[in-house]
Amino acid sequence: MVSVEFLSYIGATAITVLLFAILSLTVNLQYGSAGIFNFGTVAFFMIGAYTSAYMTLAGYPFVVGAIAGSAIAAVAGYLISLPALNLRGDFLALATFMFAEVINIFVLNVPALGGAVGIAHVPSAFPWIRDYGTSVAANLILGSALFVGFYLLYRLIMVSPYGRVLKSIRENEVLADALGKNTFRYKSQVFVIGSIIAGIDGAAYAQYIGFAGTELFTYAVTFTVYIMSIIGGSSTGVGALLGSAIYTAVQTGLLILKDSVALPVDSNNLLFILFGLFTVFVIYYRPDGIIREKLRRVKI
Amino acid sequence: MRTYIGIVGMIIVAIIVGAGVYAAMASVSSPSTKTTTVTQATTVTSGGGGATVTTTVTAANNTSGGGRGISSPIKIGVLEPLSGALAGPGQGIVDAIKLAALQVNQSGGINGQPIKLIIDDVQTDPQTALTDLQNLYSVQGVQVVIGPPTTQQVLTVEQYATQNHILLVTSSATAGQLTNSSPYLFRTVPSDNIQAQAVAAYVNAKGYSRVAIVTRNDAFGQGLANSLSSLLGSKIVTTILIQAGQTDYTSQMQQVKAANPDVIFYDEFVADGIVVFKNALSLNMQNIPTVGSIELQDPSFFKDPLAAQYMQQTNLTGPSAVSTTNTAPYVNFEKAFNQTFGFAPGLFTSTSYDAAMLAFQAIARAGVYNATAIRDQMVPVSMNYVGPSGFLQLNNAGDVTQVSYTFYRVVKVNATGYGFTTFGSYSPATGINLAS
Amino acid sequence: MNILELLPQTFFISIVDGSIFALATIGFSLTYSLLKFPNIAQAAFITFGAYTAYTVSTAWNLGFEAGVAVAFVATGLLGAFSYFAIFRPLAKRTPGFIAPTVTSVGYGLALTYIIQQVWGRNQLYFSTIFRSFSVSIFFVNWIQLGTMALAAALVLFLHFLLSSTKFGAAMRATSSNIDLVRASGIRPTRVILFVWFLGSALAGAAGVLVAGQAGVTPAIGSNLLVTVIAVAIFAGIGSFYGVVAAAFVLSFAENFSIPILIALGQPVYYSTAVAYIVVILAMLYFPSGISGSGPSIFGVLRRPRKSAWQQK
Repeated sequence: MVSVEFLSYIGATAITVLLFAILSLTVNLQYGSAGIFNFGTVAFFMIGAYTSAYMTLAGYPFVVGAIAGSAIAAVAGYLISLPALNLRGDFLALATFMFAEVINIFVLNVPALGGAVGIAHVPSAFPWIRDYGTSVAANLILGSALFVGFYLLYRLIMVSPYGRVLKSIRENEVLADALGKNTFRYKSQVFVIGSIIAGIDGAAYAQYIGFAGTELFTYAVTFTVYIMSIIGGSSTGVGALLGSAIYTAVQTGLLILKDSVALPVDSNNLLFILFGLFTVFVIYYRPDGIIREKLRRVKI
Repeated sequence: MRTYIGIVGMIIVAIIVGAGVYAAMASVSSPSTKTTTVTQATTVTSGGGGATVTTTVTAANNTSGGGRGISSPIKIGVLEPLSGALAGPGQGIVDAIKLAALQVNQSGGINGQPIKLIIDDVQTDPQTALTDLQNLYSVQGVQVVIGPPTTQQVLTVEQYATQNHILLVTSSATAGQLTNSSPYLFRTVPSDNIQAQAVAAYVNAKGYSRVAIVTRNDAFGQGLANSLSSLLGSKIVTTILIQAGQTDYTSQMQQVKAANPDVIFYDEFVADGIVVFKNALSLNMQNIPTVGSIELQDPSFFKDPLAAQYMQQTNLTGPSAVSTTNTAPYVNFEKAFNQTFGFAPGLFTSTSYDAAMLAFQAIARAGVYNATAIRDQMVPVSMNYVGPSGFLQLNNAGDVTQVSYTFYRVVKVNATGYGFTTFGSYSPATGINLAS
Repeated sequence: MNILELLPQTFFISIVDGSIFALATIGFSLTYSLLKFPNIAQAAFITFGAYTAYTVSTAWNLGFEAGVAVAFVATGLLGAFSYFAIFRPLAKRTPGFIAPTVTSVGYGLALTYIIQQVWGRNQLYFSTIFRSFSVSIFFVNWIQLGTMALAAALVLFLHFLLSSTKFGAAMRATSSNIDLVRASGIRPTRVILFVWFLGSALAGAAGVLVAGQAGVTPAIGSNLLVTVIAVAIFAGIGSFYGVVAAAFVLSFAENFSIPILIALGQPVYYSTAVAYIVVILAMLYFPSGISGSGPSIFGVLRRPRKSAWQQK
């Protein structure tokens, strides 16, 4: 008989998978459609989380917090895109990476944003639910709804004429530009859409954990999300979910395994060593991810 | 395209169905309890329960997580840093906890059952701490956890622990915000509010009027800097928050020197502290006396001769988290630690040992492996226990209310060795006394 | 003591810090220009250098200088091995830049924990003590002098290599047009292998020098990682001279911002943020870095200010 604790554990794990899958989805959206390497994903995640935490603690309902979070993330995304999208792809990655670091440092030093302690006791999006099990279920529904919603948005963008323009920009920007498309405007829009998604995801994350702190939003999160995207496949929305699920499954599996198997190597070190090697091998054997992009045949 | 929608659809449906089934079960399930055999029903006086703990208790007392009898082995989770920024103290912390478990097991365990520690490396990453805690609770069935080490980690796992009734006893998170933050959180290390009071009392007693503050920019350091600034006000001439991990802090230390302080307050861990002290020494700042936080009472600092020299020449003094090092519990602890692990116990080792011991004793008194019952025993147990870090006397807000603090000072032990002596005392009630 | 009296010392420290940044970043920038991806495992190489030097100098008691030399060679070999065993096969299987970048993240993680497994978690200390002394108005320290000397020597060596030797010409050619290099009979693999060796060796040396000041911990490399990235962006990928210049500019920015921040009443902690902001601002005006390095093979070109059709 399956116990309540076990089911809520599965639920909690699924929620984490979904929330990070949404971030992977933004990677797939920005990279997969327009070839934008945004290595500052965690910055928008953080902005959404902190804004929503602050607003909900001030008494506003979660929806208001999420909207506020996404708005500020959008503004930040737009401001960053102005200079950043002028850069070569790889430079853009490093520049956005630096931006995320600067934001983290800034928040660390502002007492009103919690400083080094962070913002604790963030109200849940479902304040009427007292029972843990039910709150897991509610958050699971919230996470699934958000993922499905963003997934549909992603598909909409990708298969629409808008998406075709984006892909043409990814393949050959000069040509797209020559054809009269304002490539900068398209890329900027995708960047901002990705920021909005990450912002809302951040709001959901903060209320799920009940806390927002600077150490939850380090560059390690961006690396994690990119690993998920690569493993699952960076060209589809399902790939994002799959990557997140596999990553979490391996991490959890190693965690459980390390306590059951006695080895000459310290089990905690081994966990990270195996995890790193796992990443290397998976990318080596399946560099396009598990779900690859289907190339359309064009009849000539 | 269709296959993708299909796959996604199936996954979503599975999730929603699962969630639905789950929600149905959750609303029906009341406090499910498992075996509740107890060997010492008579000693249990947990408040708000029934007369005996053998029966399933009412919802008010015992929701999900249910009481489990003391089955063997008794699993204790350890969430401490074995790598990352706190790896230095982390090894000692885990060893101290292991020592406590070892000693209890050697004398028969808790109510006859052996203790099994499940140790997870959480570095200083809060998400890892949460994932590990969820694993410990749901997969391993752990309800009592020593750790996590940092304030942000505690705050991240706190909601989960409170909702699922998991007892957290941290031996190193000092932020004032943790006071009364959760009924399931206790700590064996004094809040930085109290530390700051002791430091301020010392500064005032010595008549210093130009105080420079140099701390790390994390929860440990920011908290102390803020508390000190409200206590010492205009006496503070400069506050420098440093980023851990830099190769060199000479530029920052120059600013401290330029502010002309008559005393410098430091809050550092070994890794950055050694660099800061070497830089201060190279700037010829060894004539300015220094005051330290509890974190500086760590023999690991002495491994670097230049840092040790600076600490000794400046008469580094500070409030001690370890109470007096001459007490029997501390001496015994130090000896046992040295014998078992081969090195001297350092920062947070005594608080970790005490955290573990208090948890073990609370389990024994509760007589049942149920975090709510155990939690209720933490305060009473701490009133009957004096450990290497002192007579802690926890309160219901989870804090240490130890009335009196001693001060440590760095001294030379022989030609090349350094050590700490302890002297004097401070308590909010009776004030400061600096006699040896 | 007023602010002006402090500036000479700040100047000295900026040079020392800049030397370390340069050594750590040259390899990163060179491998980036050759294989077109940022090698995040560079952090692990830096850490490896420090630990290797510890073993040689302190555990085997052969002295600090021997430690530096061995660390240089050993880390170089590690880098060459990494290219040969991991990044070269990966490059053959897939083009692009995300795959090797993410691989380097995982590889770096595994390496760092292997190091921790072998050497333990506790902080280690070199047996050599570097004393400080004053020279007129400066407070200096032997390790700092050594750092500057070694960095200068290595930079000069690289300058000579790049400008006056055939091999250096081959290096420069390989970074801009690998097919042409093949066509002219030089085997790019050898060049790339050597560049990986050299870049990693420099990283290892940087690690030892950092550890000499700050102690040997597994976190040395990751502490430097963000700075390395900042310097590399600021410099423009692949330019050796750009890296040297950028390293010093950023070091000066970070160190000199401290007295300025204090004068403005702002938290000193922002000094690192200042360096990063300098980098970000620079990208507004110098999108290819201060050295203006050329386009990458990757194919995503800079957006021209006007489209080709609009330009006269």
